[in-house]
Amino acid sequence: VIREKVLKFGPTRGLVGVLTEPPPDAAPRLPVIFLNSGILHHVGASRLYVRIARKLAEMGHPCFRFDFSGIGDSEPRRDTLAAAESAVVETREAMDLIGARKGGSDRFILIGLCSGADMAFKTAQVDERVVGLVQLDPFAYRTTGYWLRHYGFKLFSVRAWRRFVTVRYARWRDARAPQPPVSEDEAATYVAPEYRRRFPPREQVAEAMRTLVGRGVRLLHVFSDEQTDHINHAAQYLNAFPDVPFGNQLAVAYVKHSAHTFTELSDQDRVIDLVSSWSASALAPLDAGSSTVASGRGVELAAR
Amino acid sequence: VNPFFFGSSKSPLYGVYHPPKSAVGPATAVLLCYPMGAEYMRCHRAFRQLTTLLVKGGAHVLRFDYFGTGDSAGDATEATFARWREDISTAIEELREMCQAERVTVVGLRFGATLAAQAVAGRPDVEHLVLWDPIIDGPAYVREMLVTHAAEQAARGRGAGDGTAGVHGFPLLKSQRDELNAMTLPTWPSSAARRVDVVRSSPSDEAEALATRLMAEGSAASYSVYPSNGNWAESDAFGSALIPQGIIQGIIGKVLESGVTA
Repeated sequence: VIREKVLKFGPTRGLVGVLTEPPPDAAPRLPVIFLNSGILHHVGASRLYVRIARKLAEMGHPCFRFDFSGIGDSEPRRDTLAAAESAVVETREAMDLIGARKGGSDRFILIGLCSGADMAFKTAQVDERVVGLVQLDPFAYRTTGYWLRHYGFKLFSVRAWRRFVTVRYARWRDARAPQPPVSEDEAATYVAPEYRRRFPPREQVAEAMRTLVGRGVRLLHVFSDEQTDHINHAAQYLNAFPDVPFGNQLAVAYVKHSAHTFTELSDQDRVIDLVSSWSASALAPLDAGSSTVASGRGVELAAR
Repeated sequence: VNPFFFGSSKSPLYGVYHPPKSAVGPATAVLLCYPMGAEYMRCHRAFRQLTTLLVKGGAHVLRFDYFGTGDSAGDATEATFARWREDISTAIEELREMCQAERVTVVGLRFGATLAAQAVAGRPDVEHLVLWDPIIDGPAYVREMLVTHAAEQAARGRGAGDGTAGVHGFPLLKSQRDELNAMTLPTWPSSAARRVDVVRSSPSDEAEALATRLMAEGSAASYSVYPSNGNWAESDAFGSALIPQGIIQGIIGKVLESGVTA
């Protein structure tokens, strides 16, 4: 039976997280830390983080889901550190906290969706305690194959051409139409915080990936079907980084038809399966203390 | 901020208790009841904002997750409305014990308002109920969710029957649909001898009729509109928050100026 407890931490104990502990008789495995995606609190989009954490805890991983300062149940910071910087600091504080507990560890797995993936990636670059990284919808880069898939069949599809004309006409018509004024009240009361995600240059990501792979970090990248401006096939990710010797340290999956936050329950089930299978295969050698770096080009997991 | 687990040790509930930040007059104890499904995610920040303002005004506040939701134990597919009503009662007891209160105010949003009204029927320790954009017409609410679900499925090239009967990532179970379909204004529980404030972000004949009915039954009921965005059911692929300041301020006024103290 798994148990959950609330932990407060950070210099002012203003950060809040929930630790999901494995059953007492489970063989100990590496702790997993979950990072907020945007403003969604520590339960994750549609409670996805809770479901993944409970599944991984059943497999032996202690799982810690916490809120960055100013998000969810955590207090805002009292200094002026930018959110992108404080997220890394706080993730490292979370590792300190979990690592210092009874049966603790000096090696961790980080999981994040969207901005959470970005912050996990950023933390992994500066903290060698990170030995595994699950990025849901991480940075991706277009390749020739992307453009062929994007435009290839559409060139010969009457339906695609009809849609192209319809959409272009609608945009032209909307651009000419007078825009309804937004009342001050509406502007003031409707707060939909935006996360403006900026993809770094590919070379920068490739360099960081080479460092992580060189350190033996295991990687799982799962793409939804909603970053189609950047990626439309799992194999594209590997092709976009021919200069990174991923070996079998990287597994990539593409969940067809899924929303960015893997909204549908069946898509959530798919992500949970991918993460738990990856834990069973890719992380098992790490539990034994191995840091072997294998050769190869990365593994494309079966896409739906 | 004091997050903790409470209730049964086999299926604990996650709650966050916020003690008052000022001693402005006699304290009020307030329980916040979340809506269901994706609306829970969308309102989380608004509840945090409401809490911050209430504790500044001297209130004790407890917000919590129902069984099978948020951080509480259980899977969403095991959840029933009956269980959620029991959870509200458990949370009332917990709040009373934490701040030694004899009476509490319960604020519920959308279906959380409906559940709260049902859960507190007959409880003498709940003297004040604030129903924020309450769901009154259950069948209409079900239709709204299913239409949204079907449209989302179609937009993603999936048939309406593909995947689950989930709405924005949360399951809508058959038992829940059946109960919602049987829920209309005439079946709304009586709140006699209680103060009930029905607050809306836009005018609603149905909500006004509810307040009128509660008044006729002997409640000190009121109906107020605080023009604000109330599109709780809206969702997007990235997860967004709605923090309608106008109605939040209105609720603060209703709670802190009610004269109902712990």
